[in-house]
Amino acid sequence: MLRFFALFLFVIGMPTAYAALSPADTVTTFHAVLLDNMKHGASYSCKDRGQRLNPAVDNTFDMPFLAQHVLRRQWRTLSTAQQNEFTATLRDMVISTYAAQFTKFNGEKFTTLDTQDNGKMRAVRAALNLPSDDSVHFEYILRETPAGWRTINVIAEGVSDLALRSAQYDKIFKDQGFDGLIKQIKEQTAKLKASC
Amino acid sequence: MSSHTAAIVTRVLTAWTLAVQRNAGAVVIAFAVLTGGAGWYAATHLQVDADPSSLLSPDLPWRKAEAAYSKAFPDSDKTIVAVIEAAPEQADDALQRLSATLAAQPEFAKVFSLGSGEFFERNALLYLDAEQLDGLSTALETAQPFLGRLTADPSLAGLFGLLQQAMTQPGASLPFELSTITDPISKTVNAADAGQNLPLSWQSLVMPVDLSGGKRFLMIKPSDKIEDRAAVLKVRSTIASLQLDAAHGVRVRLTGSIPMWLDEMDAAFDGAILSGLASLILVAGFLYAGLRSLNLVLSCLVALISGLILTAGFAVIGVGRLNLISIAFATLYIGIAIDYGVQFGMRYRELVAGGLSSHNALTETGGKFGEALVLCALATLVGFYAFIPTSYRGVAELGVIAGTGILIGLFTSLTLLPALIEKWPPKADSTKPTPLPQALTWLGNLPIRHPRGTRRTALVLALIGLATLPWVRFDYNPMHLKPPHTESLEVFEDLAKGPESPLSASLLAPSAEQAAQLSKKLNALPEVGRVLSLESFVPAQQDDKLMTLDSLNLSLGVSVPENLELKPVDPVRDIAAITALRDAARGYGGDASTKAAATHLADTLDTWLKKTAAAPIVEQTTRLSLLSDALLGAMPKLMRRLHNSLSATPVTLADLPADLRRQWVSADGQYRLDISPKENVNEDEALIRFADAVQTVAPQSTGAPVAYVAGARTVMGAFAQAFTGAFILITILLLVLLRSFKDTIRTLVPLVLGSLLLAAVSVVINLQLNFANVIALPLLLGIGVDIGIVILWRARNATADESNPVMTSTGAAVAISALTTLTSFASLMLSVHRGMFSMGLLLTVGLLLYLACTFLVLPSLLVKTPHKSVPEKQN
Repeated sequence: MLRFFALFLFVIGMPTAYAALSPADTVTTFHAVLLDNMKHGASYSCKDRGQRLNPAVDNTFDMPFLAQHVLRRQWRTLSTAQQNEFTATLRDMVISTYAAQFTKFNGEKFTTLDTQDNGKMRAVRAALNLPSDDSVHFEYILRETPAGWRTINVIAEGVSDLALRSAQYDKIFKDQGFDGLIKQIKEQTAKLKASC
Repeated sequence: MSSHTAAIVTRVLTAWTLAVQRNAGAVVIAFAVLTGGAGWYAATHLQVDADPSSLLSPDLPWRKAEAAYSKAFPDSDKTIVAVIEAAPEQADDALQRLSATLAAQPEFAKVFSLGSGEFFERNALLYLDAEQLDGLSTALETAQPFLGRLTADPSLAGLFGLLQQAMTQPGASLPFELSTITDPISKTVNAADAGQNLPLSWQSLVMPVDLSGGKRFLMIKPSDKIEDRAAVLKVRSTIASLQLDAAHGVRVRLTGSIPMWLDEMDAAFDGAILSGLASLILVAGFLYAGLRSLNLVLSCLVALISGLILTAGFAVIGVGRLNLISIAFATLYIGIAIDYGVQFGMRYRELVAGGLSSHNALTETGGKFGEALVLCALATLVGFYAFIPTSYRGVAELGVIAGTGILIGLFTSLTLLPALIEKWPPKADSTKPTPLPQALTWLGNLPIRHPRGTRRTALVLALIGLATLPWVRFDYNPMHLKPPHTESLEVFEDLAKGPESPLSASLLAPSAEQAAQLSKKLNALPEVGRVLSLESFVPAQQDDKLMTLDSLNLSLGVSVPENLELKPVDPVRDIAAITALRDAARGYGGDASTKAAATHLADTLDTWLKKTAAAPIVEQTTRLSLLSDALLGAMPKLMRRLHNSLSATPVTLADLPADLRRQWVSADGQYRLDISPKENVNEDEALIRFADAVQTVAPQSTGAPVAYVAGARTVMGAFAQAFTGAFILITILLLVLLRSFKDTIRTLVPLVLGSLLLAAVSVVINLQLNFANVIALPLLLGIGVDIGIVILWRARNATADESNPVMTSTGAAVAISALTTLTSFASLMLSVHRGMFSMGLLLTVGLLLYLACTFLVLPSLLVKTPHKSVPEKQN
């Protein structure tokens, strides 16, 4: 369960609606898309869910920034083409993850809690209340971009996705190089799509 | 001496001896008073100067550079350095507590540490090199899930819950191997069980790099008002009172110039007293063997001790203090002055045995044998005084004291001794002297029977000795002289192996630009490891590193809170978690090695749980609190440090703290450079290479390596100068007083041969010359020439039937007195101080060689030409 929530969650959404949103609202709007996917789990196909998540992800997350920080050690050694390829691959995987994981509804509820001011960043705390009275806690870290507030890290039950991913990808990069990394991520994405 | 000079000297000495004999009582009383006065004066006024820098002349150029450096940076010398070793959190804590406590005490003028304090804590990560920082960031990111969950629930339940998951869910990730954490936890739980606090070091678990690099150094400069020894004691008692000891996982050792000199002085002093006492006892034994009369022995000893005390009194008047080298004057004095007493006594006995009355025998000994003594004393004197004009002040002062002591010894032997013998003559002894064993007689007469063969052998040996000269080594490092198993030296040697070597060179540059230039040039040298200056404290590659830190901040963010508060213990929740972990550990099904660690943990937890369950409720909570403290206590501080480090901002020269600036820029604007060697310069070759290399770029550099090498060269130069001077002066002395070229040669040949053989032997037994034992060489010259002169004197005053002056009572006297000197020198080898030991060894070997060469070679030189000396001794 924890592992599941330790992955980035991307959501389809509508670009314009996000433009002037506060950090908390950005998160809430994203959660709404997730909930929508879950409620229509039976009727939406995997592709449908993915299509809804596509714009939501772009409007909730700062993918280029994320990509750069995940691969920060090697980012400068990559060509622009490689950097773009990595960002796109990462984005793809994240969308597929959300699409594959949020498919059923059993009375779950997303709640957005408080927002903390961390200088240039904002930390929005949220929770997913499960039907069993349990809840999973999140923290979204957002930064301001010209297009609005965007998430750059999700911390689920204390586990920082950016940290985890950064450590993992760094190892794969060192062992198998850039191409090996891309291959691995694509394989993961394919598996997710298959079980979608 | 030439007959004319001899006649005058004899007349003077005979008159003197008669006068002494007539007023024996008065003489004895006068000496008693004089000795008492000198003794009291010496005891109250004589100081010991343990400052090694006074051993070499301050006018030498490298000493002047040293003085300039000390003036600019007065904190750098006369310090006590406390080296703290412990797990990172405890080391920092110990450093902070010790520093604060000592700084608050008035006995210490300055207490500071390098590389610690708020500035360095905040910017610690910037000071890592790029690779280290990378490694650290990976370690932290890998640890993040664990840290994040733990900081979300900072309690025993939280910690044990995480561990339990790790044990039961094989997929669950921990940032470290399970076995890495179970053992430290077991230890901590065990200690807590016994009521002790053995904190778990989170820093070493989570981060592979100790942010402060291992050891912590605290520099302590005592104020002028407190004595060195008291200062060291105060530091030690403070350390003890703060409980910085092994039981608390901390080790603090002291080194630095002050502890090292104290240790050395203790060893030298102990050695000096012990060897002085041993000398006296052994000497007394040999005396009795030779003189065979208690009265005579006592007279000799009284004269000896009186002369010693008078010399000490002179030391106060003439020099004012004893230094680390001239402390040895007592041993040297005893060894040489006793010669005069023994030979005097034995000559006297020979005359009595030959039929003279005690009174007349005494007059004759004083008059005629006195000549030989005067010549010996002068020759030895020359050997000592030859050091006075050199830059090796330590030995020059020994030369003054010991040289004058010889004169005092001569005076005592010709005044007090006859007076004592006159008043308390030995009882008549009718026993014949025991004949020498056949082997010795045969050996003694060998050079007479085979003069040519002996001379040829001598020549061959001399050539061999000559050939070994290039291998004679000087040990440049005075640290090798220090007593070997003292804490201060062991820490020093430890540090010298690593990057924090105390053997670094220092340099003053007049401006920042020149400092940078010199830095560059020095760094280019292959012998140089690194060059530190104020500039080096501005971290390199800051842009990259700050980006890394930024990213780290992003990814770790909330998991590294600035103010983490541990949850209070919750007996129900916590004990449940501990029990669950125990069960999980017990049933751990992983690999074998981890299984062993897990079982051990289970047992430890079991013991703790049982004991806790059996205790009353109040105590249960206490036990839980103790456990929580021990296991989680270090977390909040670590989190705060990390939190602060992650938000580091760029550091420029202007941002460096004032404290740091003061250590690297003097009050008058000179910039300091600290140059570390690449190799371990505790080894001589590396030391010389390093010092020479640094000086080609910067001739005005100072610091230990430069000082050692320059010091050694000064000493070797001084020694060469003195030795040459002594040799020439002795030769002139002999020529003038003996008035015979051939006799001068006869006296000098055994000396030269002995010296060459000494070189050969020292190479074979790997005895190196050093700062302490170079004094032995001119001293040996003086003693060696003594032996030759006395034997020659006997040859020139021989009866017609004496073919071998060695096989006479004079020869016996010389042998016995040489033995007494030998035991005196050998007793120096009892010292723990390696310098004194090597001096003792060199003197012992040297004396044996000189004795052997004189006894076995000199007679062979007498055979060809008949002696032209005065044929008849006057009876």
